[in-house]
Amino acid sequence: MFITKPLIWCLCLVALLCTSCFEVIEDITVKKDGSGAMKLTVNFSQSRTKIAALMVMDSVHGRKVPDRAEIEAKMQEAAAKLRTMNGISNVTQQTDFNNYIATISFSFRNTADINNLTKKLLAEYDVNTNIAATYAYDQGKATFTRDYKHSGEVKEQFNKLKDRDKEILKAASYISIFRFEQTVSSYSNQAARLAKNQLAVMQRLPLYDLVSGKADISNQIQLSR
Amino acid sequence: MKRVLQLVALASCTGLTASAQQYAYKIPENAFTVATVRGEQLFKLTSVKNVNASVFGKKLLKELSSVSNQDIKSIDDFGLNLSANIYYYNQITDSIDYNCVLFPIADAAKFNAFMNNGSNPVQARNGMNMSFRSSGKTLFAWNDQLLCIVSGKQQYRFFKDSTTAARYGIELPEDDYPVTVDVPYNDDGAATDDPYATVDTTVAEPETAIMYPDSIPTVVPDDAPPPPKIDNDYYDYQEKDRSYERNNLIKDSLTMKWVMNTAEQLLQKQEGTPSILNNPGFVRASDPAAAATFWLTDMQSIYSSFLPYSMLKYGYMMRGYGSFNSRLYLGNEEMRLTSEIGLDEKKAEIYKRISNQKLNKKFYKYINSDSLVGFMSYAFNTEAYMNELPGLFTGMYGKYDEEMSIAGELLSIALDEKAIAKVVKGDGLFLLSGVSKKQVTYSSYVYDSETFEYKDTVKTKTETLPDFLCMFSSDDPRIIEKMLQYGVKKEKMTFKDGIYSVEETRKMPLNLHILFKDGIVFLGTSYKEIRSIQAGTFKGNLSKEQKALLTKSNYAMFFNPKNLRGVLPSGEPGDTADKLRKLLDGTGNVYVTSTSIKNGYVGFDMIADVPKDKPNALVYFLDLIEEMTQLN
Repeated sequence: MFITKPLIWCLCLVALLCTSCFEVIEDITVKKDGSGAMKLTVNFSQSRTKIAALMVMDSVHGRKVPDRAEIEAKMQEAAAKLRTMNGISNVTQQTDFNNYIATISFSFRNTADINNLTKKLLAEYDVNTNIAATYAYDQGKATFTRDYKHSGEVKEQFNKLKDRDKEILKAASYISIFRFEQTVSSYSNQAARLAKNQLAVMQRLPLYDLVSGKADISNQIQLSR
Repeated sequence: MKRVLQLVALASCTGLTASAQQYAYKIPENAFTVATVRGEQLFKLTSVKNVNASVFGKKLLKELSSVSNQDIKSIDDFGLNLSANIYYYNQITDSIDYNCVLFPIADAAKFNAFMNNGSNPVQARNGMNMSFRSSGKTLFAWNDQLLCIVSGKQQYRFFKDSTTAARYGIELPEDDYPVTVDVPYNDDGAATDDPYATVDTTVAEPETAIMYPDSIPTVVPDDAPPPPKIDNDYYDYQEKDRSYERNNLIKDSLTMKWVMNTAEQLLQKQEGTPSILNNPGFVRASDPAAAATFWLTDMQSIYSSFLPYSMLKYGYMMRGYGSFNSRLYLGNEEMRLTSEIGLDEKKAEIYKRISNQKLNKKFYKYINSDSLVGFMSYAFNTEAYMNELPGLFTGMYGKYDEEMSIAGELLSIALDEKAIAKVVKGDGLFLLSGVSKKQVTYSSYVYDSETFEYKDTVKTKTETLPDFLCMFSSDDPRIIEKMLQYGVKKEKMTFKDGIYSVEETRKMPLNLHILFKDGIVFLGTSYKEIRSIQAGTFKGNLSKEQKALLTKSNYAMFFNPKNLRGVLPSGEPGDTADKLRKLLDGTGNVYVTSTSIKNGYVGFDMIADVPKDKPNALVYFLDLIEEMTQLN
């Protein structure tokens, strides 16, 4: 009793003192035939101290804090769902609780399979929104397109966020990498960068800009034939 | 002349006492909780204009405008007496729970106009005006002097009883009972399922609509005839649905009837009749100097009321505890919340023995008041507590009392109270001394500009972490040392120069260092601090006020927001951190202390200092709410 209460008091202070910061990395490799692989990484390592402090508490700002078992169960559930989806294979997931990094990766038969799985997963978690970007690969024309529309719903949800939650998004980064077997001839989004070997396009932006609709992550990439 | 003055003094004092309680005599003797807000005390500290202009006031006016469908510009627009006592009480019966608010009226014409302009119809009955809210379960009833808001909630279990159900014509799902009570009808004679229509019918002519009892039923008579049974095996889904609706209609009509009766009884109740004023616990809590008071009937009744009747035999956990009360005092220099709970003689004796312990005075030299963010201290007698354990178990589990008593005795035999008290004497002090900067590592990625392939990399950053130091007395810490040595052997901690250290872990993001010195076990986050305690070079500086807090109470807590603000890292980005700093800047010190047993009551005092730039506690409180809403 004596140790627990003061420690929780201290941990609350830890949560108060530390700035939270995290990165989301979306890494997609598209082969010539339109098949490929995707890896999603969420890295909370920079906020390790804060997350550790938060996880000791039952709830923060009235929201329940999930424990390790719950997080693992959710990740496994997501992986299990992916395995049942058409065109999706080689599903692996990993949660590193020392550094608070979660990754999920899988192979797809066709680029359109990514669109289907996002839709299904969002529906599964009762998210009825057009938040997801759509991906298209035209083998004949050798073009890869990501179409992203910032929907009114997202804007509405964003506006509902409290200032402190908006600040968390300001400190978080979103990184998107597209890799190809052919070299990239041109790309439409000037905020993106081309790798020196011309086989990859990367865009990095604060997550806040993406959610608030300030940034555009749409891109039309023309590949050499 | 002296006699005349005495008479004048007596008359004015009597007047004061009477006005202090005002309409408390309306509250039933068996109320469960009572809360009182003393408008007179509040408006000594602020004005109606200031309340209207505050965030809280604006929100209230907006809410009221929206509820009443009228444009309300000031809290004194309705004709209510804002300088009088406002009472809220809760009453529990076996059939219905009531939540009631009593609000004195200053200007009946103004209040009538306000209610008549609202969206809910107003009707007159037996010298009172009344208006049901749309739910049909909350009634506003008033005369020229008093507004009573009565809200009723049925007891779920009440209608589950077959005899009660039959009495009111409720059909229980398992058995087929005929409907013995007519469902309310509209003027045209058609059965209605519109709750509004039900409100009107019941309110206007309740007696002709349904034959309900005149008073609230509490017990169903033993000689009540068993309900007649009809042989009918067929019960389709639709019929069940209809039956459910019929039942609800009857239950809702009953609620309305009972709520109406209660409001009528409240308005007609005369001074001198049995009331809550006969309850010494309530009278004790009703301090006229307090801005608000809260009183809760004895804890055993609460505990029992939340348990189903069949479980009552197990429920004596709160035996020995009396009523609870809280009083809020708003002054110019401080805001004080005093809370206390009654104890019976036996419990009071036990408490006295357990609290017969003082904080180790050696702790004082490790306190630095100038930079201290907060502390928490406690001093209880471990040996007395261990000795009292069997006694504490007795009476708690009702039916299993004897078994629990034996278990308690066995525990007492198994444990060596004296030996335990030597290891942990029962006093402790926790100090939140400030914060320190620390380099922490984290995983990130480096991207190859050639291919955008990324590799894991370890980066470092500076974080600000709280520093704390806690200590407790131990005359014989050998067992603790043995446990720590076991931890060292298992490589969970290290031991160097007489200090045990635990590195931060996933669950505990702070380093901990443990030292044994002068019969005190120290546990702290700062190695430097622990080293200076070990070397005897620690420089403490305890203020008189804080020393008094630690010496006088068995339990004390202190928090200095300004010192926390001083140590908040300057690198915190964003508005929230700035707002938090502003909030901490404008917040005074907060203290909590336990009070010793007085007239069979034991409790806590919470005091918040009013900052010098605020005129009084109420203004400070309203400003604080405003600052806090800015944070969200």
